Amino acid sequence: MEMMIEAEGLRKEYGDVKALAGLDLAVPSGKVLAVLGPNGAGKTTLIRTIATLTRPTAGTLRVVGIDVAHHPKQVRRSIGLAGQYAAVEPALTGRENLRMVARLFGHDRAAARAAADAVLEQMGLAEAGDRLVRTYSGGMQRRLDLGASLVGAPRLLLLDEPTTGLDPRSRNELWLAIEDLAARGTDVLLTTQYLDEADRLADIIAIIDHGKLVASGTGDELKTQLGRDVIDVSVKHDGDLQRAVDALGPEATVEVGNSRVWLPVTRGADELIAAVQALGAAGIPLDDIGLRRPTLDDVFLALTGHTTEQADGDASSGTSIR
Amino acid sequence: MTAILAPTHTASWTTTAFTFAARTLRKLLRTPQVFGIAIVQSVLFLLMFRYVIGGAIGVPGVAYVDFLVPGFVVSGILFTGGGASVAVAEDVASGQYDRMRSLPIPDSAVLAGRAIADASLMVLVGLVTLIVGFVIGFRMNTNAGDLVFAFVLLAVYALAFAFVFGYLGLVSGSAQAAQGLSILAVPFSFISSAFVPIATMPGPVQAFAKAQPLTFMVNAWRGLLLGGNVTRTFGHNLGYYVVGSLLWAAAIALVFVPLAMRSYRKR
Repeated sequence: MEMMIEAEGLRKEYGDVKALAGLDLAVPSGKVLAVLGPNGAGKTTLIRTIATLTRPTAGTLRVVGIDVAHHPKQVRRSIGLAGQYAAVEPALTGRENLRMVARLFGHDRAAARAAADAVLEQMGLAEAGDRLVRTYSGGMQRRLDLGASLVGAPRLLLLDEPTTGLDPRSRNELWLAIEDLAARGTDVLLTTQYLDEADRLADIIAIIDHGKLVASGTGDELKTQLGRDVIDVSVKHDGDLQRAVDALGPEATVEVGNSRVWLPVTRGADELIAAVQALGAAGIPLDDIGLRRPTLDDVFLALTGHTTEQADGDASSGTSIR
Repeated sequence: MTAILAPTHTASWTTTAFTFAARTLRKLLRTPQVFGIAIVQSVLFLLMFRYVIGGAIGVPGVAYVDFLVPGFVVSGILFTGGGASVAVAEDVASGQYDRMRSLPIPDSAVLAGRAIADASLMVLVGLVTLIVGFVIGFRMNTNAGDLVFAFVLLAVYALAFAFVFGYLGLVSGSAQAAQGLSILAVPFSFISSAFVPIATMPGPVQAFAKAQPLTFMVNAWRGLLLGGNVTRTFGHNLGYYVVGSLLWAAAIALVFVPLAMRSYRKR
């Protein structure tokens, strides 16, 4: 089977900081892979390593079957990178930006012109193509940036937090563009700290934390892996959190910062009744209590012990905007 | 909709260098903050030296405005270069260099393209400065051949220094830091023969001024534009400064091209 990514024992250290701490990951071609993790989990380092911008300290990495350490230039022929910040030149028009990147990808003048026109069309920027990029909205700039990574018709598209900082409408437009690309058969690897984004776009989700793979699979597999429904308790007073955990038993977890207690259960409704009674007997005032299917948030919490919004002390890849 | 085909070849070194140079020049010319400020700064200082400070400076054997203008054109490279390193630092911060590094193109061609664009801007600012010089009374004593040669030399110096400023932009880490580093232009231009004769400087300062690249470059330019009257006031003949300036340009490139290459591909 053709592989999009094969990483074995991938490590990257910056002094004492282990950005990647022995990451193993193998994903076949023909998929959309979302690498999900909080700030500082190693997502950006991973994507920079795949894009040949960062050299791993140890381990092996093959991208579309090509060894990154030995044939970086071959890898560069096969990838298109769109970063966290729109890397387009504001003083050029959209069309000029795309033509330049197309020329640098190796197209001759005529092919570069055709590729730029096709991508402008595809990204819904045909009418804005001759305007200077500094007059574009943030969402338009991000789509142009995505387009710039496409003009070389790469086999693998690398998107580092493609929607961070975008308003909901622009975010949706970018999602549609990415889905469209995937439907045309481009492999996509994107990093994100948004669970809904991973759930919506990805065939395979790889959860990483502290530079290691924590779990991978389809969204459904990951939820089934957790296996159980969840009782969600919101207490009225933060001071009651510990008492609520005591009342619910050793499997209950406090979700820090959200005044919530969280308990995986196997016998749904019966255990919900038991929980209500236990909390009632302890005299703890509640805002809400409910039984629900696990979300990716729960999966993440169960696997890493913290939520995606908590950077767990380190933040090397920018700010979380949510 | 037309499907985009994958290119069959990668871009050649020349295509890469000139594509990137064209992009950079376009950007510089469309960003008045860069081009405009370089011109205004140069002209403003030229006027100050000519009409405010110049009266108090006596240069043996030549009118001060004639002495000043060639020095100003050449040292202008350093002041325009400061803007270039700020622009490089901005491109790094905005992720544009990440995109370049992820493309199947030679690193050296990207850096050369950048340097070609920056050097072109430096020469252009030099040309404008020279024209303003004429307006405020500068007169040449040269021929077309020497004038063309002077501009060829100016382009060579500019190219060498473009790699220095490109390197500073790459390592500075931020546009503000790059701006700070550009203050280096001040000691190098003032402790040279650009604005005042070296002979009046105290011993150690004079030794530095005599040896450093800008003095060679300024004197070569002055000699080519002003002819015999001025070269007779030099310690050496014109050939000494022309050859010396070219050696200095080569030495600068030999040091800073590899440094820039290394920091560009730092990973």
